[in-house]
Amino acid sequence: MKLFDIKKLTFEYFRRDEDGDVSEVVEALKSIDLSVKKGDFISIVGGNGSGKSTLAKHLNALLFPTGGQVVVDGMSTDDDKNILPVRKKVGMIFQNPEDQFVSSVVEEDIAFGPENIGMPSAEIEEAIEGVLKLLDIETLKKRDPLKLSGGQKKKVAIAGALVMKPDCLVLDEATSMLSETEREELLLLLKKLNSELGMTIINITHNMSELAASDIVIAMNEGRVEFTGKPDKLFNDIALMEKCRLSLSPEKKAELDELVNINSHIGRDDTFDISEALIFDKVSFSYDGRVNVLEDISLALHPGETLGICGHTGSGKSTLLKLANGLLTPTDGTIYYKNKDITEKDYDKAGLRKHVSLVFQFPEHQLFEESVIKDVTFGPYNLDISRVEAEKRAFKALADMGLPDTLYDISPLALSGGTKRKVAIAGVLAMEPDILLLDEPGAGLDPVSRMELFILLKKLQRDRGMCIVLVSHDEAEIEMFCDRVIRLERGTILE
Amino acid sequence: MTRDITFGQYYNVNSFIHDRDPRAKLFITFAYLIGLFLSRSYYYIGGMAIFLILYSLMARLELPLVLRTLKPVRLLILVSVLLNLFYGAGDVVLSVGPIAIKETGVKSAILIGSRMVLMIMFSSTLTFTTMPNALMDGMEKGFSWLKLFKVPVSELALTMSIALRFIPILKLEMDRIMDAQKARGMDFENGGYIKRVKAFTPVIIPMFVSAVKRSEALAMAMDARCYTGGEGRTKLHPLRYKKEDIILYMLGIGIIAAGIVL
Repeated sequence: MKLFDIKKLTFEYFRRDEDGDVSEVVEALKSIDLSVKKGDFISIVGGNGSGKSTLAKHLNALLFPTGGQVVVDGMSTDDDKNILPVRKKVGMIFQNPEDQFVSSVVEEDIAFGPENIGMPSAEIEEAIEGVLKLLDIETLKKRDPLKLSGGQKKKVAIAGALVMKPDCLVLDEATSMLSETEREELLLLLKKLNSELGMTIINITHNMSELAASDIVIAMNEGRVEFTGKPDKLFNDIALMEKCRLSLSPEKKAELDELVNINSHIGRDDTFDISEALIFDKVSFSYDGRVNVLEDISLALHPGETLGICGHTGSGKSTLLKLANGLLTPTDGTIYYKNKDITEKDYDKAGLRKHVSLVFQFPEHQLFEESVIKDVTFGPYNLDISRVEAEKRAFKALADMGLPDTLYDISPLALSGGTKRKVAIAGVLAMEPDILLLDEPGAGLDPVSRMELFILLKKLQRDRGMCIVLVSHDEAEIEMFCDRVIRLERGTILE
Repeated sequence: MTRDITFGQYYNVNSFIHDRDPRAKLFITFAYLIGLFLSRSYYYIGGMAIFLILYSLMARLELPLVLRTLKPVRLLILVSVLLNLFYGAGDVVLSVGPIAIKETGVKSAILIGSRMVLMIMFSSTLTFTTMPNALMDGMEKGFSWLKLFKVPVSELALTMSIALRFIPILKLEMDRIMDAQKARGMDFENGGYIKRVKAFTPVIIPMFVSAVKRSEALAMAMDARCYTGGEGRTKLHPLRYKKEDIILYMLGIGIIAAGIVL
């Protein structure tokens, strides 16, 4: 029995310039033919901008084809009267749960869907009890969804979809911001929904390790479906993997291997010079004066090394980075940089940030200037250097991130996600820091873009001798990329 | 996400007033405000002050808590009282040099001062005893007659409660962006007024972009969950009056009646 029957699906939209005139017609989906059986577990993979999300939004009538048609369980989405039944049948989970909650109480948020379709109060209550039990989150019923952990938020969002008793669940990069264990837990849950309730699961992901769980993998590239079939068949087709931005080309892979091995000795022997290092000495930190987010952390960052930090959401990783460049001050303990105590009141914090720079999660959210070049020069202009020197640094940083000069005068907001990320990182690199702290720099990027980013960073490190600290919850990636790795759990370093 | 930002000032205790229907609480609050401006009698104002204290006791709110709500507006109250004090007619009560304080001035100063104080304190009991969501529900139901005049009451109420929910998210976002710009050498603390205002461009623009993106994402998510507007929606916890709610209505009517008579 077919759940989705998609024929020659084409989707175009207009890109407009500043005056509102059509400057370009973008063909996001190009004549897609696809059929999905009821009860299948499907993964959709492909590079950033390959059309995965656009396709997903056609599955539950959030977008409508400009050509061809989408039929869901016998109902064409072209017919207006089918829109609500289709949306009820196909539940959708988006990437960021914060953007899909409508209420500040879990049970009221889950109730939103049933309320919309006019379900009587008593039935809503019963349905909520059911999904809370199914997902084993009964204790969260009265909590504020915003104050839950990443994994719990995801479950609440899923509950909000399941309560409509859908036949199918579509997850758009739902696992991307979860830690390893949270991700595994979520996949187990999806597996359970699939095998026990016969629910069709469509999981859009960048994480190749999730594919093994699926019956069928769909690989997309530039708006086309390039592959539909068993996961191992995809993994064996190296050329296709490369085309769909799922794995690096052999040459690039060799380059990365070589770069990764350059500095592996640093930090392991005791001959380093501590006068150049950033040292955490028994540092504790608390936001509210009661619970310590970090406790008794001792750590040294040396020039030229790559340190990886991994741990759950809320384990204190990001807090550690903010302490290192003086955005936060420890509640206990001291931090030294080049033999000076940076926690002293009269220490020049702004001066510290010229040497120790922090790239935040989703750094592209901080872009604000009207052109790429202006945005990248913003940082260096804040330094005590001449404007010419500042511009030189900006050009160098842009070149280092592999961004062509044709982009310099374009608005950063008009760029694609991966390019935006590189511009944002260039904006920090232009400060020419000695220590570069990166918080989940690869989040949301496709596998190849991630690896390419790491190659660029490693090259920079080789040429400039800077220290890189990388926070990530992808442990495999961190192991591969870093010279040494520390694990944080509930604010302490695990040995 | 470690910082706990709560919006509103809900005071979490169990009390007779906390348990009342938000519509009844809205009614008595409006009645109290109207009553204050109906009468110029000192006895009535005094009675209203006593009523406020009793009402707070019933709601198990400590007086200092209620008094604290005056703090942000203390300057406004002081200015209003002083202005009224100096503009008056009738016999001179006190004169210092060219400044004379007259009888009606004193009267209207006392009146305006006590009215403002009572008004603010009583309104605060509404938010102390009612969760923002319940308040929105109450307004939605209480003003549902406005639908007759084509006012989209349900949509407005949902918009308001979503707006409230987004305040802590946007606050966190602002902290994040400020930190990110600080990490790029931006200085928010030093420099003159103009410089500091200018320093906010790198914060305001990303905030604006983010707010627009989030609202688009939310609209998409609401569509996916079959939202089609207020028509035909049900409620998980519909508002239902209890017997005791009538007490607040009667008190409210009493307040207005007394205000007319006295």
